[in-house]
Amino acid sequence: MPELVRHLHRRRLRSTIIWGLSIALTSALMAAAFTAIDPAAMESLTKTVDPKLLEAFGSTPESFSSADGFMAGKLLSYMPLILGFFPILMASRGIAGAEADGSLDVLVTQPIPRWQIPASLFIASVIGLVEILVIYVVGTELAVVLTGIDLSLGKVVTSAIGLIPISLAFGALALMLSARVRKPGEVTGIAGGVLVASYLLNTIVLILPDLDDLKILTAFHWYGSPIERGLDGTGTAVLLVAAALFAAASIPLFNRRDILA
Amino acid sequence: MTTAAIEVAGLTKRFGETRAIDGIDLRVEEGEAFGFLGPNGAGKTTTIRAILGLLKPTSGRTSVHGHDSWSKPVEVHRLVGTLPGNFRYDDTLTGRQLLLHVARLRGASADDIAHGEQLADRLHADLTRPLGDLSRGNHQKIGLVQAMFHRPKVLLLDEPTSGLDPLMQDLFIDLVHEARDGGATVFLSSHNLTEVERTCRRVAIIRGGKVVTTDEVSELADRALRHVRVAFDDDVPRGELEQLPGATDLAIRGKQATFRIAGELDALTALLSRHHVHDLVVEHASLDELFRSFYENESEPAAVSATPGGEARTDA
Repeated sequence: MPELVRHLHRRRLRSTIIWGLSIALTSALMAAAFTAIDPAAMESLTKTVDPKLLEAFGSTPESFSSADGFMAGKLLSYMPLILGFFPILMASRGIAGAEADGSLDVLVTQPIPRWQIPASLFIASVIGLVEILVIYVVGTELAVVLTGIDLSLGKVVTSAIGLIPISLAFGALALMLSARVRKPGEVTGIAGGVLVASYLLNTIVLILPDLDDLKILTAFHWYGSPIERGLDGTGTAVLLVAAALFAAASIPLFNRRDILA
Repeated sequence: MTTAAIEVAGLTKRFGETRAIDGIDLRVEEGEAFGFLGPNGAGKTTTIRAILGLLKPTSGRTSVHGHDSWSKPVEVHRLVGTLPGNFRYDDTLTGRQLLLHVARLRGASADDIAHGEQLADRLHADLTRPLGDLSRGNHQKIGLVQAMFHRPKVLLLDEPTSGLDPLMQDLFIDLVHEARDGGATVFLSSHNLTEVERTCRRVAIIRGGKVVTTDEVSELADRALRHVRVAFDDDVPRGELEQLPGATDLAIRGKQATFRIAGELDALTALLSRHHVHDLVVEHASLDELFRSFYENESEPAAVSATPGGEARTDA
């Protein structure tokens, strides 16, 4: 299995670096933008907006007075919406895409158990996510040092760690779909659709308190705001369990199905 | 009875309402080179994928050296080297990187890798360029190398020479002979009869998901159409020739008749014995013509199976 993980990881290395640099650059720009904001003026301005509406978009009236609040509102609240697509694409291309273009045949005719293919993809996704987030942390910290804003390394690292469970949950969902559905477009569409729907539902629930009971259905509720409030143990556990269940389900689904030419 | 290298027993595979293969039985002995002939869509690839354990049989079973393909795929894959019909892998890998990658997945030895490099050298396969930069023929060469480098006990090759130039096709045939001489079993799916004729002792012909005949290549050739040219001393007995079982394409010019005939020649020799024959030439039709004869009547595969060449009779 190490060879398979190594290969699948290497196959996506260039993409991993591009994702990491893009997210790091965005984060660095956000950090730099915070230096141009007058916190007191922004806070008085945002107090005129309905707090529920601000919260729906990851902000509070106080968000603009602190760097971590600003980063949470401007980047990290919707970061999973973007980063989640990295493992989704990796899973959809790794099985359904490889089957569609014929390249899966070489792997499934080697003397390795089939379950090692989704398992290796899952592990390679974790490694890829960690690499992207290491680049994000380095890029953000570089911007913090250069701009001198008050954002601790611990908070940046916490925000990075918090992104892993939610991204993995959607990657594992895609893995499960990829193990069953043969069209990579459908895998990406369904898993990506669930990701976007989860974000929208979370936003709606925050605006409409009557729908509060529905919040447990959204991954973004369990994600929370790690940079501001730290890692929530329950939320992290829920997301990791979901990821583990989806990934585990992919194994029997993939083992039992035909591999088409 | 000894365990067959490849055994296919009552294999049926349905995809929804479509029956891709229907009750196929095949037995390939260890060390045998076996051809599997059929046109596109006949069920060749489906059969190979079932043997490889990539498709779950709707009914029946397949095994390789006694290992059930579906329930024991790892054991099967340990014994098998295969070239898929549409060989593709990570386009960014060079041929050498692919070879090393597959070698690591298989736990192959350094000696196997060296053998792979020798194969690549003989095939003039460039191991230094990424697969994505290779032509179809060169891509296919790398596919052959990855199939054969670990000296598998069973070689399952699906249309292996597609994209190879004639010289490389000759070399491929040499490689198959060497593998077979080394004790490997070769299962060669093809629609190229010449290739099968040059590499295999036995052949099965598949049509519409059913095996219509399995025989020695030489026996098939004996059952093949023959081209007959007869010069009579007297007028050509047109009526008798038209009634001759298995005869087709009768053409008469003066006292000379030419026609094709399939199957036994007893009726022909009896007919000729009743006439004065000035000259007689009987030539075997090519295996290609034989192959075509199995496909002339697409709607009646069973009839072909029961009476090889029988469809020609209906044309006489």
